[in-house]
Amino acid sequence: MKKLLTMAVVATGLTVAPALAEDKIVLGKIPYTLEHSYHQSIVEIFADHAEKYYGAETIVVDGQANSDTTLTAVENMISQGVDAIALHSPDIGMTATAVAKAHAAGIPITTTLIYPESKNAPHIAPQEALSSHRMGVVATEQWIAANPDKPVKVAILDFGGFEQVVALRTAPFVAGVKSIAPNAEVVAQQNGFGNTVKSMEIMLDILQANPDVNIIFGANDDMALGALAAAEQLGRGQMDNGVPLTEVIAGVDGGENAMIKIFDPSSSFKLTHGQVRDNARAEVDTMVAMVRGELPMDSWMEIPTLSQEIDYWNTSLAGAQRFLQENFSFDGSLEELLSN
Amino acid sequence: MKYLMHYLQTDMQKVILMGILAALMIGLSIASPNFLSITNFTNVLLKVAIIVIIASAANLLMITGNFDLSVGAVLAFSGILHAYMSKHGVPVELSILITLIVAMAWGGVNALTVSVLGINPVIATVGTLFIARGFAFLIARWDGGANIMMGLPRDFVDFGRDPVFGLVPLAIVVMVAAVAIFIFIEKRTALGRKAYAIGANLKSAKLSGINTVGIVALLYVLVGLFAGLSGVLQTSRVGLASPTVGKGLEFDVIVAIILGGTSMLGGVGSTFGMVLGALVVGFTANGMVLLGIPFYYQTIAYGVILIGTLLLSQKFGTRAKA
Repeated sequence: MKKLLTMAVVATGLTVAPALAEDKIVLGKIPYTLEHSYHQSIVEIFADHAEKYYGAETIVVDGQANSDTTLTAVENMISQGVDAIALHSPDIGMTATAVAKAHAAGIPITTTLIYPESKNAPHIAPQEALSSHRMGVVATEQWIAANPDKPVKVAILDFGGFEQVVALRTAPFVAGVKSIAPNAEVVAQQNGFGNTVKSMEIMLDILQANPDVNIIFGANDDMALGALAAAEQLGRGQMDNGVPLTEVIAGVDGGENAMIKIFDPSSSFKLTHGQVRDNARAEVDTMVAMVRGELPMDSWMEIPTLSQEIDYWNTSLAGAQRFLQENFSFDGSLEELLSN
Repeated sequence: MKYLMHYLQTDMQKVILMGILAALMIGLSIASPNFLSITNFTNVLLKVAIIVIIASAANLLMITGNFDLSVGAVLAFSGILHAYMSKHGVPVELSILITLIVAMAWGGVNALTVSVLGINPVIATVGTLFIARGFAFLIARWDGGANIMMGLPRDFVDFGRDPVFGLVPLAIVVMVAAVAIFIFIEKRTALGRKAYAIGANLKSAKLSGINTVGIVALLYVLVGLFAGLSGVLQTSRVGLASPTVGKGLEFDVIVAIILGGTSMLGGVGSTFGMVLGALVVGFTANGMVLLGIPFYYQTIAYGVILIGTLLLSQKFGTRAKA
């Protein structure tokens, strides 16, 4: 029932204040956008962990991938008098404002992925840069091993200019590629809007202009899936039992839709990385520690989490199955889905 | 004389659009060696197909002086509903049929609120937009996720991807058919003539005995039908149904219609002009990516092209009036 209530608030985007129990810790969680399965899963794990380990109640308000909406959500949480706030915001400037407002109200706040430029609150820091770099390395090694005579040409779909997406995802990926192929060239970088259909349309144009593109990075799985759909429409998107024929595609998040393609030996989408469970748990643990006075609420502290890299060549199917179960509440069988 | 002036204005807009289109094609052919190819033109047509299919119906609706801002949400809802039913055992053909009927029902809601109850189309269709988008998210949640991709039957994707007679993608065939149907309606049928009459002067149309409520209601239902069909086509082609698709599509549709010379006040416009408007937008977007122009400049360019084209047509339209 509690989950149902949480989802009802989530689905409507309403900020109806439930009666805040006086003897119970109440945690406010503001995800980046509940349109993505990654953030839907993190909300579920967050609420479960908070209740199971701390008996805490969770209030969720969708940030809707918008700075104004996110800041309004923070203000709502403050006016409701929650005990602590977890914020995954779209930009570092707004995050600093949100942190200042929460601190002024005496409410502890923690940030995830996007940190405040003021650096004055604990921050959950998924180690995405390492995994993005690793994906660049693996993708390039596999391409060169199968196609040594074809120079590496990279195309990137991003969110259109988030500084930390560049720092954690696109720049380390390109650095990984160049560590193997120093002459590799980024021939196209466009905004995929985090969306599969838009990414498909844009990638069709990119591949038209640059048919020799052979490594594609989507800054989330939705964009990587759009790139794959575009490649397939052009008769590309293929591998021969995991051997690259046309290109290698990488994404970020590690959801079910991506995993099905990654472990399909004939698909060219082959790498991703992600972390849901540990991020959610770290948020809750940090918030409760601040509420209890075990952690200072106004000091910069990075709490690192591992963003696990998963690829066709180095991750077992059992490992991928476990990842989905732990991070996306996946209760099916990856093996069965692949055999259908 | 008034109709002659309207005709000249609309025609001048088409001439300007054809000039811009020709300039774009010549410029891009010189600037990008990959522009002039069947694959690239197919890509552009696929990109504008969804806009043109919906705009074919929405254009005639706007000629009556009404418009529909819910088309993107109805497209998303239809895609999700079709995917949900197909995944859960409903044969693809039956699923498409049910989806189209439900899409027409969304159009029926708009018809009821705007045409029968007389609510402002902006308010009424934005209301439908939110409700349809909300249901799209709910259906995705019922399926257990943020979108529907896994477990879709093979013929679900085949429908959108298999070319007709092995040659032309289905979306392009449907686009051509939709344009042909609405050019025919516009030029040769009582529905077309009455739509222009309603847009030109609603009171006169009523006094002339035209069933204005029925005509506008019918067009809203047709817009819903075409938005639903577009949702089915797009979902099948991409192989994924997401409740987030089609955001902003209503503006793409309106931009194509207005660029094509249709007046938001009604009474003026043509399907052919709308197609030209959509092609200008489609080739501009294609060209900017082919040339590697960063996203930020692309956004500015869209605005400049829209305002520039409208200013040009206004200037020549004024001359025509003088």
